[in-house]
Amino acid sequence: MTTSDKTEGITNIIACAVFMLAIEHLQLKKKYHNMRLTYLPARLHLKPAELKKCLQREVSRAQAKGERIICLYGECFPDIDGFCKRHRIIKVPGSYCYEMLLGSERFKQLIDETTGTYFLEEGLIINFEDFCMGPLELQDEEMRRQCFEHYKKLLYIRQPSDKNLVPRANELAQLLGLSLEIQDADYSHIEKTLTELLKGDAW
Amino acid sequence: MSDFKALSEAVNKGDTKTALVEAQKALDAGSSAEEILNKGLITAMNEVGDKFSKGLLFVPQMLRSAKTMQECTKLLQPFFQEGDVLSKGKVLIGTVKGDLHDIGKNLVSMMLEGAGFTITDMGVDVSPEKFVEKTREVKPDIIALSALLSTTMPAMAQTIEALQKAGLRDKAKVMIGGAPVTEKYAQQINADSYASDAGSAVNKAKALLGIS
Ligand code: B12
Repeated sequence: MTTSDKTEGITNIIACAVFMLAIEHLQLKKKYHNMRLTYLPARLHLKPAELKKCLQREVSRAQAKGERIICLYGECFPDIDGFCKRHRIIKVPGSYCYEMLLGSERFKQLIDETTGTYFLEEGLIINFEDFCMGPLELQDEEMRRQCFEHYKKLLYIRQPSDKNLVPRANELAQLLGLSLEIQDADYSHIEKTLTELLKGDAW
Repeated sequence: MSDFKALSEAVNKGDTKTALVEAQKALDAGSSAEEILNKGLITAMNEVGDKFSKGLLFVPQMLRSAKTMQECTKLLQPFFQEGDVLSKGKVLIGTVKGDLHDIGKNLVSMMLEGAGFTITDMGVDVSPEKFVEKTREVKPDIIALSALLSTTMPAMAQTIEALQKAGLRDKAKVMIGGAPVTEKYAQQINADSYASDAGSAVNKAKALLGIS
């Protein structure tokens, strides 16, 4: 963006790249012309302090242009709610991306059913090497044990626009010695939340 | 007297083989097991903790260093003097209900144990009821709760409430920690103490029991 860009009245959704598919599927950019999207890499989850720094940088940039900001993140670093309040930006409600994709009620029901669940979504499956396997050195059996010994299953939250990732999810389940379950998420929850926020009720 | 530099380096690297050799060398040279533990191993693990906080190393390296420290502690075990092994107090520790993260909790346990506390580790996903039950059985001086998820932090408050209801709240001090936990939150839920890492958990535990 150059400084001459007219950004008055623009809403910038600063989102985790995890939501890229959902946002594209919902074609928000076509429906809301005064909207801008900024994605931050999902890999930042490994280092919450870095994630906070990157978000801070994007918020400052957007606010310097007078943009309104919607923060599309779970509670991915400590006190992200406080951070958003202090910067007077709106955080989409929800503690996890999985919750935002499934809707809070269904998510809560799923985690109440078993605690030994490790969630997967499109980005994590495709980038498992980069986000999880490499940094946690899961190719090492001992590291796999230390990290996943208390888990029972992988729960793949499948989105409508996902390619066929079931074979890869199965491979991951095998590698980690867990069973695989699939739950389909439509985009109705995230659409409703974002649409309400974009309409500006909350401003 | 040795400054345990080589031992410390080996713990920092998670090089168990070299660390064991260095610990043995220190014993042979006349250092006491307690000295090797405190000045060699614990100091080195505190350095590792610092590096993790600063983002200079990541989880697997931390796990390797912890493993190295554990192996060295095993080697030292038979050499502790009688006075050294007197327990500083009993700690009941666990990750709260709904939460399966245990790397940080395990490090805290290990450091507390290294500092002379007797540990009962309840593992992960520990419900308030189970904490109450085990508190009755073990009669700990400190109950240490870990949470890594923002959504499981309330289970810390629920555990404290359950202890209160069971008439056990004043029988033990409650210390809490985990990445999303703060001093402020500890005050809010009436915990007795909070520590941000394993090194300071040891100091806080000692302070809670009025020991040095
Ligand atoms: C490693 C990791 C995992 C491993 C855990 C392996 C294991 N056996 O513990 C795996 C990959 C399995 C995992 C799973 C999940 N994780 Co995770 N995980 C992490 C990660 C990258 C590091 C945590 C860690 O081990 N740190 C190393 C230790 C040494 O540090 P620590 O735990 O903070 O402990 C220190 C202090 O906090 C303190 N301390 C800790 N406990 C206590 C207790 C007391 C009494 C005291 C005094 C001090 C104290 O001392 C410790 C030592 O210095 C963090 C992000 C991060 N960098 O923090 C995410 C993170 C915690 N995970 C997260 C999430 C979302 C999950 C999952 C839900 C993901 C999923 N796809 O399903 C599941 C959890 C399911 C469940 N029910 O628990 C989020 C939590 C977000 C939130 N809303 O709160 C984080 C913050 C990532 C992020 N940015 O989004 N995770």
